[in-house]
Amino acid sequence: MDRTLLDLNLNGIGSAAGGEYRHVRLDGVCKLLSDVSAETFVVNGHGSAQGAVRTKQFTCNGKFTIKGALNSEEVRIDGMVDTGSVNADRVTANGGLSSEGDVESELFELTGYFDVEGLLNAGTIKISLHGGSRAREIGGEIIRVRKGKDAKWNKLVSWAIPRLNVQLEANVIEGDDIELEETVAAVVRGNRVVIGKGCRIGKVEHKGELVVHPQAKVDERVRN
Amino acid sequence: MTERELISKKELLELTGISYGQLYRWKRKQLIPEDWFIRKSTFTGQETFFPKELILARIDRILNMKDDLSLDELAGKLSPLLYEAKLRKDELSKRNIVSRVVLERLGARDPDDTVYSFEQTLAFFAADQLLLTGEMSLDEADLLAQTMKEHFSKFEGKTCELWFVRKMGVSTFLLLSVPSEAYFESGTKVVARLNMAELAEQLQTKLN
Repeated sequence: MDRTLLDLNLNGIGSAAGGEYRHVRLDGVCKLLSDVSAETFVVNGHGSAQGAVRTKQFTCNGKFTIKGALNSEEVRIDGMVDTGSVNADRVTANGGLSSEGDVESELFELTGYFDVEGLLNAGTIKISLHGGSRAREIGGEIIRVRKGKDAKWNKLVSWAIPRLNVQLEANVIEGDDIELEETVAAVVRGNRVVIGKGCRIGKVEHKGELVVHPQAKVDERVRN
Repeated sequence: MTERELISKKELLELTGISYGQLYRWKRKQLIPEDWFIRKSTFTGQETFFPKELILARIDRILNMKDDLSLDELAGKLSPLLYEAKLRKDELSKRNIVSRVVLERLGARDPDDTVYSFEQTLAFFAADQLLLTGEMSLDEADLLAQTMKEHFSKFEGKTCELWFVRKMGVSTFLLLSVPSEAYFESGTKVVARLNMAELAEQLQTKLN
């Protein structure tokens, strides 16, 4: 490419058409009207993109909604992101992530809550739960779901704010090395499986070791 | 028309000795196409199935090639219907990939050193397959080649099926995206149905 790409900077309240840019920076309340591609993409504040976002580095501090797909090598979220689907190499999130479709990444690290209507597929999944989370399916090599450290008082107020009820719901969880806490799932399949405190699992299929915490419930265990 | 034989994910992993993690990784790298993951509900809940022949051939190839290539390089080689292979006309007949009859009929005007694209070769290969089963005549092979030439590229590498339909001796070819359903008036016969992704896979293994 010999043509140099321009930067897009929005401050305050504004909107912009989509297009190809070098750096995109949105500060304030901003709206992008169609697909955007850029090398870096930074949101501070509150914004939305009507189309897809394709970038190398996506950073969101605040709240951002993407109607289309989010495609980025690196995704950093401090705040909340709603998106159509995610395809990334690394996802690091503090806060919330919702996706209407699949989420694919080599590394997926999240502290907070998530809501994936499709498949969450990542090499390494590390989740520190702070709120009610859902995924239709979870698949990967290493899957760790822990209850967040500061979430112990959440149960007390969860009757008022259901989001705060720390629990992960999934139909199927499949991986090589799985450790779960506070998870409700129909089926968990894996090589090494550790079912921790607060889990309710319909069926566990495991090849290797299976450890079940006394405060967990597993209806059926199958070893293949 | 027989339904494709399916294999459950669990059986697949037992049979091939790969792990869940590997399977998910290959899916992420798009080594295994999305539409091979067939979700069905069984009495044990949701389970994923795969078209047996396709997935076994694919996993075999991934395992064989994995040692020499990185996963990303592999992805380029395996994405459905996007093969790079090009072959010369005389090679095609010499290596018995496409029969001489088909080549002489469909490629009559091309000199021996013509290099065919993978798409063209695929059309020849499809014609060859149908001729071998005796379901199609040589005249109809022309129609097939024409259909493929005009419309196959419109699918842009997505999987599609080629249907061969006949009614009262009049034959037609259709290219359909998958999955799709089609209903015909009575008296129409679907003579053959070829999955292009499967065919491409077969052709590719023949070329290697």
